[in-house]
Amino acid sequence: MIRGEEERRVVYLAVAYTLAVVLAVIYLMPFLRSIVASFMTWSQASAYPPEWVPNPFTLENYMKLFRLSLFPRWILNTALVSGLVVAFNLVTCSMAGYAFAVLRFPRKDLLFSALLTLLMVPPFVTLIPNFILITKLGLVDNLIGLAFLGSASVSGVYLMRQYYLSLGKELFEAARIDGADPLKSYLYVALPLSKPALGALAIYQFLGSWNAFLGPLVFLRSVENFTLPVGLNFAFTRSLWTEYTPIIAGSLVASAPTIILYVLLNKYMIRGTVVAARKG
Amino acid sequence: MSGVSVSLRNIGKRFGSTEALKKVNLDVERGEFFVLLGPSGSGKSTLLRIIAGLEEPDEGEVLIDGRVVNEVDPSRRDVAFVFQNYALYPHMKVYDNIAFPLRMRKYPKEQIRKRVMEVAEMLGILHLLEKYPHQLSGGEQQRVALARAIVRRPKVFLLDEPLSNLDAKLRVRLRFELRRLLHDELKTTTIYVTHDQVEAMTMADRIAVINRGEIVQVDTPSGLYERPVNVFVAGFVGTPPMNMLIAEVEGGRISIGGVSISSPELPEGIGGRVIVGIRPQDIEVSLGEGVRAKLIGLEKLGGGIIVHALLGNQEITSYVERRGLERQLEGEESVGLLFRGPLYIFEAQTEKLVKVLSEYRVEEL
Repeated sequence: MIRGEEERRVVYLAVAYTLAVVLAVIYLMPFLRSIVASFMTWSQASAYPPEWVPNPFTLENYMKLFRLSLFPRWILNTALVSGLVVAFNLVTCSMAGYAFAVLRFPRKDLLFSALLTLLMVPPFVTLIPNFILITKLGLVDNLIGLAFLGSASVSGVYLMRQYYLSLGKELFEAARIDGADPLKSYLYVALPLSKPALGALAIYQFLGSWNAFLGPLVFLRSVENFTLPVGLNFAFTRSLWTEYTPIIAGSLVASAPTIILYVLLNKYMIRGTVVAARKG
Repeated sequence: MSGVSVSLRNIGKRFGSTEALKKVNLDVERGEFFVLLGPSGSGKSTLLRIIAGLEEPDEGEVLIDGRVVNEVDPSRRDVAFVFQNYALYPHMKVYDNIAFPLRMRKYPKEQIRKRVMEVAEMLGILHLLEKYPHQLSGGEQQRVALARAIVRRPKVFLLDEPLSNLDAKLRVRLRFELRRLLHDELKTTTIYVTHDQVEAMTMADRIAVINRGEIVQVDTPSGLYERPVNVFVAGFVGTPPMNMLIAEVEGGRISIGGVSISSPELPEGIGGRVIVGIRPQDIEVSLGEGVRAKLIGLEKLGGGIIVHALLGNQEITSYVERRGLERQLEGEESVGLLFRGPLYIFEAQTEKLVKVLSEYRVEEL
């Protein structure tokens, strides 16, 4: 009886682990492949069947990257845009989320569902109107203009609203009775309690804008204004072919900050969903 | 210290299709400890929230100190609210929690400090000032919530089931303390919502019993106990609840399952089906005398016993505090019941009180 149970447990674990390993391999494969390929020559990296050991082992791809005089500039540009997008979103999403969660105003629910339907609109649809808007504002080929386009996000508003709702309405009612107007209650009660949610929001927004390709490609013109993803693509695209291995190396370098950020802030991402601000 | 403090005029409130409050009228005297008592979902919390301004009535007026405050924001009504879950600010230390209402009103720093210390001392929480709410026990959190309410000396305290999250022992101690503090020391108007009739009876100057969005009766605790206006109030106030026996009135006599009751106080013209109420405390249990009733069970409470018996086919309970009764009743199949206290006669249809009989004779048929 007990032995049977033990056996079943072993089988269960074996199946579970096998499944987890298979999934992990599937997810990690492209990343591992990128790491390996970044040390290969293009002819080896593009060989079929694929080879897994760099031979000859070369750092040429990385050298090419650092020989690009605009590489540091692109990193700086990307950091600037991402930083601004994160900063804008922290303000706009937390304020809007607070308003939808706590304040009372006519047609609130209607407005909120209208906002949510925007999630269903593909970004390509808004590309042209946005382009016209940015052109009229004279912000084409301007990093601030690009950041401005990403200054608020529906998913961010949704995240913050859900978070404030999870805190319970009594907290904000108490603040109201204690004499705090909506702005004070936002500043002194909502905001200080939002760290976990704001952390998660910052990470998501940073990842999104750091890796963004379409927006920068459309709205930036001059080479010195490019962000990293666009710049890399530009630098290694020849008229008839593309040098993929330096782009792979560049992507790996570019992903370093996001990985570091994730390691530093992932407790916020987890806490953002788990946190219970009140006891009992 | 006299006059009306809070006044409600024809307050009505709907949530969707449910009518949460129906034309509620109420006057709370200044300095009074007033309890809103009702089962859950009766609308009592909604009424409290309307007074605070956290909820807007669909109709009617709220007056505080004679001024209509319907359009006044909660922050300017000069009321303090204690929530059932306390709603302490989790990111602030106890000191800052208590100081918050004063800071929002831009009091000078020294004055805030002085007041916070004063209130903290009054409530015995000086040693907690540097802690965060999550480091406190339920009882301590509750005191901090009270301190935050008291610190700015509001015109009215509004408390929404403030003791219901505490364990039974603490609840009993705090309800005594609460009344002493808010009523006897601060002498401030307090409106207190609870579903616990013992809490209401022990704390209140006056109680409003609410059921299904309507105020059924407003009276002192003893008034409610002695003269309940209907079956609902009679059954809600007092433990164990009042016995309600279906009876027939014919020719000036009330008959309940083999028992006939006559009284000179029974109004003429009453006839047919009625409900007769008698409190378990007003029924004495004996082995020899009294109306015979089949014994069906005992509940031992330590200090007393609840005796369950069948009178005809209706259950009747008696609460007895006599020592040794339990042993005497061992092995008995029936007991004698002696009716000692008043009989409440309710109309069967409307369930309204018709008459309280204090003089009557009980005979077995």
